[in-house]
Amino acid sequence: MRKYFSLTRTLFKNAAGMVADGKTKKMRVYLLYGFLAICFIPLLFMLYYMFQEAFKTMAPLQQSGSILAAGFHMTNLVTFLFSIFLIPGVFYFSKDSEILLSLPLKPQTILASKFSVCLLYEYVFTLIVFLPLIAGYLQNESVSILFYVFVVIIALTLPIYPLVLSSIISMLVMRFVPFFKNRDRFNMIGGILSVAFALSFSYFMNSSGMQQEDPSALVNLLIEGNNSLISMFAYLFPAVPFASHALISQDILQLGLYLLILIAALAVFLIMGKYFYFKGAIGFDETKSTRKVLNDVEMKKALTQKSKVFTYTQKELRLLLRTPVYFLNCIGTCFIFPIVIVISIMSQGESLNLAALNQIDFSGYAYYAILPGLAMGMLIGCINMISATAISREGSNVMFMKYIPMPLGKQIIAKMNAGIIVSVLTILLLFIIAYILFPMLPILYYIIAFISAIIAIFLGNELCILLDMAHPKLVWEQEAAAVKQNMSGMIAMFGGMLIAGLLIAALFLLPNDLIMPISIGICIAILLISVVIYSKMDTIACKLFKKI
Amino acid sequence: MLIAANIIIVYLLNFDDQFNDVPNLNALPTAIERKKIMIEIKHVTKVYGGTHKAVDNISLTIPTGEIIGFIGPNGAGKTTTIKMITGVLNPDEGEILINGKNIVTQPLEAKKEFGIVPDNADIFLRLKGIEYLNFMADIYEVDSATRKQRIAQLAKTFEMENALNDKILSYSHGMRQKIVIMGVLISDPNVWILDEPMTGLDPQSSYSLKQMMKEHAAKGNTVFFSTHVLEVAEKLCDKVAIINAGSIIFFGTLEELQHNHPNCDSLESLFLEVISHA
Repeated sequence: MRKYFSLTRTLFKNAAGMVADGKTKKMRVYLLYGFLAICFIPLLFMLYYMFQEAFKTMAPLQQSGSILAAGFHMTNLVTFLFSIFLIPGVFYFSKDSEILLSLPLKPQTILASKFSVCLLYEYVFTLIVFLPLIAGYLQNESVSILFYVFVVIIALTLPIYPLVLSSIISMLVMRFVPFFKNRDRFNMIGGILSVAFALSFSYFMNSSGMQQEDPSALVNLLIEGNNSLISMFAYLFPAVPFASHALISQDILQLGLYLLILIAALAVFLIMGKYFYFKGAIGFDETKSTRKVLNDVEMKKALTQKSKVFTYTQKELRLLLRTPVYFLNCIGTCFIFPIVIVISIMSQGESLNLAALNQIDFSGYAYYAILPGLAMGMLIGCINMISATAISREGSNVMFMKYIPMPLGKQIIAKMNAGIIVSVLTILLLFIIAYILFPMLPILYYIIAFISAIIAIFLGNELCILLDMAHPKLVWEQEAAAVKQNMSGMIAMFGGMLIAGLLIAALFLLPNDLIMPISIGICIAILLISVVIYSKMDTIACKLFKKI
Repeated sequence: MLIAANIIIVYLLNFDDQFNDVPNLNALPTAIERKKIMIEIKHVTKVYGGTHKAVDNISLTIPTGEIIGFIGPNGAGKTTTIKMITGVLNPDEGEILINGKNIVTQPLEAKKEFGIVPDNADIFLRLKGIEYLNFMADIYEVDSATRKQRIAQLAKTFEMENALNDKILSYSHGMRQKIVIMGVLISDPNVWILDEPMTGLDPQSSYSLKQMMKEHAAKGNTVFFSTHVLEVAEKLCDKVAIINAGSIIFFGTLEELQHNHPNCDSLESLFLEVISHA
């Protein structure tokens, strides 16, 4: 037990140390995380509103328990989906695994410690659903002190079952499916599955059944009927009904049964770990190799002299395409975006009356395309995080940038080129889709919007890379942390959304006669700022790199 | 006056060769070139966090044609010094010249003079070996024909022919070390700077690298490397610089070191003796 506590403490401190890179002042880290927390407030309010309305509808029917159960199932599902991709990384692919496997530790001890660290991560996701759920319940019901005690116990234990479930699935897959004992392959397939899930979810949320005015309809859909989602989830998460009953009636027996299920699940997990963990964790490949000698023709083809900026950009794109986590987060996300839009429009079905657009005379209003074009460019330029994590992705190799004979400004421009190329390709794809969907819009609209988007893409990428130069996350163990747990990436993403939102808001709020001069003015201003930053890039880079 | 000025000029030009009995004017340019200074570290200090002096007023003058071993205990300031020589860190005081080019004020010119093998060989792991070498050749502006010939030669020397088409991620630690060394050697820089280069290399590659270091120095170039392996320093180096607690406590030939400490019978005991008296 002492080894378990010692290892858990060490792993947790190590994980916390990864978040704060040891160089940045603590206050700044707190501020950044505070900002991120603020970004979640709209989601919390949306969920609160949804639960509160559902409780209001169901309370007179004595059905508040169903809503609580639905909320707990939702929490469990969120935890399960996040952890199914987190667990293999932590249990099998993290760098510390190799060291831990060689220490005189029982597999159960390593597993229990790693599980505990994952549990701490999962509390954050749990609270996002759990807090609005309980707040909604309290709005409609009067409760005793004992209720709060039960709430604390359930909040602390709720993520355990889904985490055990995903841990057991991961252990079985890693033990018995050798195909997945390859880090890159696993990450790529896991990533594609998560994207497929996100798309299905998007389609589900946009389907006509979900597009109702009443927010409680969503909850009703979850709980009504014999084949409801809840009854399906009950098989997946059997502890949840006990937790909701325990909380509604403050029944200690129900709470006891709930905790008993969790203890049994943990016991099964540790026993399975004893037999399967080491066998699964030992001997996985990083990547495949052929060990084939290159012939003369191949050598000649591979070894041609190119300009420094070209070769550097090519290197960046290669790393982005070949690193599964970069590919999925930086490139995949971008190309999924247009697909999500298509799905949203398709799932609207007949409710979208495109034929009505044919009746409108669009001539003479082409300048209306400037602001949407700028907004789209800014959004796409920032959302892929390629420039916003360009320095962070270097990690401990950032020194390489300092000792090679290539000006920092040129290196930064080469890095930015990778972001610009992907952004432009995304915009192109979006415009092709838009043209297919809305052929009635004159081509001039598309051309103006495309040019505006390109201008905004340049500035978006410049701002993103400046942000990452000022605050790079260079201390990480797994590549995933460079993009997924990176504050620059988050700020760039939300910042891009904010600027895009403001540009679109301007289109709606501005009087018609001011739209043309202001749109052109903003476009010229963006272009000028972009040119100034581009010309000063070397000076700025040298200044910011002194702090790295 | 004219005769006096000539005498002074001749004397100054032959200052390094003043022990020669007869000044040979025809041999003068060769003598000056042989003594050309490749790395010059002048009163360099680096302070971390405003208080901790990692490097304290060090000065080193390293001429061409020599292999210099940079040795010292852990935390002595070796890596900080190498980082300052290569432009990764700026010194707080003093200046560093590589082949006469100031690393702070003329960084690009200075960086073209050297190639560095860092202590961490895990770099661009998802590039193929051949792609990494081609990338480095582009950065150091090596033309297509030369890079092809050098890569073929280096791959043979380091037995990497069948690994070049695979990603670096699939390489062992030693192979990663080899590809980084090849990345430096492809541009054939005047100065080689190597941070713990022998770590992880198999005996044959280690031997090849040592031979290459000797050949490189013999051609009039400079090799500056840090090591913990005293036997390597003993067999390879023309001079050693010993650093401890941020200060250079000895710089010279091993014979001079031995002469100063006649009671020590091995480099290990010499090293321990010097460190203990620092």
